[in-house]
Amino acid sequence: MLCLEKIEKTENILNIEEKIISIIQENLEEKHPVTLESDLRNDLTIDSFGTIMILNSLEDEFGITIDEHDFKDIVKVNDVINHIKSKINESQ
Amino acid sequence: MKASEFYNSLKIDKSIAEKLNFNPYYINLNSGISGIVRIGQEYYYDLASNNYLGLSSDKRIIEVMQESLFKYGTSMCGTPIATGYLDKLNELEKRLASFIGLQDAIIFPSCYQANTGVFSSMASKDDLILVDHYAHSSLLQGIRSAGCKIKPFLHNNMNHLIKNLEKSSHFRKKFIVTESVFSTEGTIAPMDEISNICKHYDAIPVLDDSHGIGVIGKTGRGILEKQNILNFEGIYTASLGKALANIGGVIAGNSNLIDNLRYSCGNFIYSTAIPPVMICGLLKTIEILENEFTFLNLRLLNNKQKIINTLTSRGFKLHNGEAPIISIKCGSAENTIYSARQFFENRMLTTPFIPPSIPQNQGVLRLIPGAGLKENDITEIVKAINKIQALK
Repeated sequence: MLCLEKIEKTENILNIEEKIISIIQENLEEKHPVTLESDLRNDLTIDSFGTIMILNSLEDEFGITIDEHDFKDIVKVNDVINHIKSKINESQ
Repeated sequence: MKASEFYNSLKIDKSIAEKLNFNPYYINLNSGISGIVRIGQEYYYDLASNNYLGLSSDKRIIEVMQESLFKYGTSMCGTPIATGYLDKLNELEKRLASFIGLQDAIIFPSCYQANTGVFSSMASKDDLILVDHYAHSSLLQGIRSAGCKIKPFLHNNMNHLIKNLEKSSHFRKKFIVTESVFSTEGTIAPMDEISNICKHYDAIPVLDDSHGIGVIGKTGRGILEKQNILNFEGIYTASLGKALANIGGVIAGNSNLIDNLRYSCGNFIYSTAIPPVMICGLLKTIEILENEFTFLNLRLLNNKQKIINTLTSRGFKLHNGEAPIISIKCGSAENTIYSARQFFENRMLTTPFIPPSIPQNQGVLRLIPGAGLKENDITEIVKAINKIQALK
């Protein structure tokens, strides 16, 4: 039973990662490959209003509220994923 | 924080300008603009200003302005609400509303003030503003000041706009904000589609036609004319300092909206009135536009095409905008400033756009070859561009 829960949790984490990457891709003006290590500003050319676009989509997708100011120190896609995961955990 | 620390924190990073020994911003001019400008003892072609129709040096407008200076003096020295509404201001508002094709209009001292002021009068925390990702800084500032929910949508992407609207039915009022002509890339918004989308989703369109008025449409009346949008039910703003070669900004639309702004919009109520001399100049400019747009526009479009042909043959990569704006893709901020320097060294003033005005590595050098440039000027500009090597 515990083992099953662990597998489900791992699958959820992977799904969240895939979903976040897909949301970032959908909100880019130009197509760029998005990886966990992609730098939002320099690699994906996301500006402040581009960030708001992504935040809105993340809020809609995960049913959470994200403060724009919390995103100021976020540099890479992986940082976004970690931030959203902690937000989801907080809300549960 | 100590004062020294505070002032050090304000220091602007000018490292690129210092490295390239060239700062393209706030260049000191020793003349006005009339196709050609003087810097020190040297002359340069003006491809930087928004003097689309070359009207900034039109002698007929200057004469009217000289006369009005003697009649009305230099300034109204107060706000229209307190000092009084000048007859000529009233006339200009009616003339502009009719020119654009809307019920009424109000004139602000600048379009920046119009755009930053309009949203806080119209929207509040229970409302939603959807805005094109590439909309002008003044619109974004204004939207932020309204304190409502903001949802940017991908540039000119109607599917993305609709997707956002589908998830937004719970908001009280919805506004969709865009520009007609995006001045960095020269792209034009599908305003006809946006108007229809607004009707379908009960949203109010807000349109900034600063680079459209006097520039596009069969008779220069802007985007509403160009895309045959009749009975526009939205809020229209435009700068009067670009093709109209003057100063100020207009908001036009439903008469209730305009009257409301006269009594609710702080940016209007508390700003000193636009000087009468400028108002009289604008009235003359509109008269000239109504009679001569077709000829001036033809020259503007010919100028654009000749320069595009030259730039393309030299290997420059351009944005494919429909408006009479030429937008060279330069990549990094350093490459953009370097390109501006190359043009400057060959006697051409251009406008470089670098972050934060645009996203990282999407630098753009903008050229507007206005109708004030005659055929021999364009021949010289073509020769000059042929001396410049496009960056790889």
